[in-house]
Amino acid sequence: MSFGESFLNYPDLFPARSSGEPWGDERVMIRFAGNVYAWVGLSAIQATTARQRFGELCLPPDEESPAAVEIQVFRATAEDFFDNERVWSFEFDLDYAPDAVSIAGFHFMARLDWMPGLRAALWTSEDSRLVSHSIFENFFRVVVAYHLFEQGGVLLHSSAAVVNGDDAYVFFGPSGAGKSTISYLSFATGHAVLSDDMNALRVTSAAVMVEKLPFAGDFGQTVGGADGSYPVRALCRLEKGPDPTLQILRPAAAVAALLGCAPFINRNPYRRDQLFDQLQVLNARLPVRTLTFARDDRFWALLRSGENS
Amino acid sequence: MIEANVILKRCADTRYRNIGDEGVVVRQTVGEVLVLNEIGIRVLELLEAAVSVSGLLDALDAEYDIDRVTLERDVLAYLQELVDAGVIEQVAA
Repeated sequence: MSFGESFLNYPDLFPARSSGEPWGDERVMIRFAGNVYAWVGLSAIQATTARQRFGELCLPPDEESPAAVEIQVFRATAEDFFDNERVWSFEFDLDYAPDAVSIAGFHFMARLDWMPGLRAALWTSEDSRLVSHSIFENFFRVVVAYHLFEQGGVLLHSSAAVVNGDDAYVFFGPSGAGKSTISYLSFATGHAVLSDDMNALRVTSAAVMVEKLPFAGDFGQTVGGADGSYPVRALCRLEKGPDPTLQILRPAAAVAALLGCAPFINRNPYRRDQLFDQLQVLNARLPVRTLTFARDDRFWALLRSGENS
Repeated sequence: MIEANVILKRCADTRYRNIGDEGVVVRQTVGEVLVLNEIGIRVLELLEAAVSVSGLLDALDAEYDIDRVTLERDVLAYLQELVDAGVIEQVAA
């Protein structure tokens, strides 16, 4: 099936550039992980629901701040999309070009363009349901993934648990690997959880940092506010098993495992070499392990003993 | 089992990178990631241009200190695994 066929009535008419009729003149500025993302062209109800969703991460309407990325929102018509009573979905199509990424999903089309700075645009037929139908967040995750990647970081499908408020373990794996489960178990043993689904890894001269993003899964997040940045002790690929074990991952296996958990970027042929580079840096800077864990907290004792061995 | 006269090439959607003495292979269209050992990566390097299986065996025979019978048995089985995994494909018989 070719790009957009699952969602669009007229895939051939996918917007070729960032232009269109804005929904309105509302603007929502959302700040996290050291960046401000400006959503512009929103209607009043779109802006209100976005502010409700992102809460304290939103700047006050009268506060001006330079945006790292501007995300334009344009009107599309209901005719542009299949309307087969599908429920909202996290699935969407991505298509890649050297300087652009096109996205088609449930009741939305979107594109990222490098001109050379990153520009983002979204076309949707949804007004009041832009946020509740996850359109806003679906695209936001892609925008953040690419923006972070441009800055040398990686968005990783992962859970991150903070130890004593000082630093963090990052547990990564695909859906079903146990990210939400290990988040519950970590929180139950006194560890704050940045997110049980997506976290940002950013390399600095001093350390690799894990940063809180406003995207979470079933468990959610237990660190409030816009901030939340901790040095990473180790990256642990999750596996479920009867007893906890911790095994070193060889470099190629580590990079392969991380690659599989770098969504939105890892299928982009034009970003592949850079992704390899950035994952190899992570692997060189951090211990990467396979953590097998059961539905209990014994893995924490293993992590602590692993550090001392 | 793959025959010696078959011509093989790397699948167009496959990309790889050497990491240490192993390699990581990405099948871009399906988002699948595989780890290959040293031999697997050398096979992919040799298949940058389409090569016959016999040509591939000759090249590996010259590089590795292993008897020809064992080499052929192991490499042919391995090539079949790579074909099954969608990493390499047959061009012509």
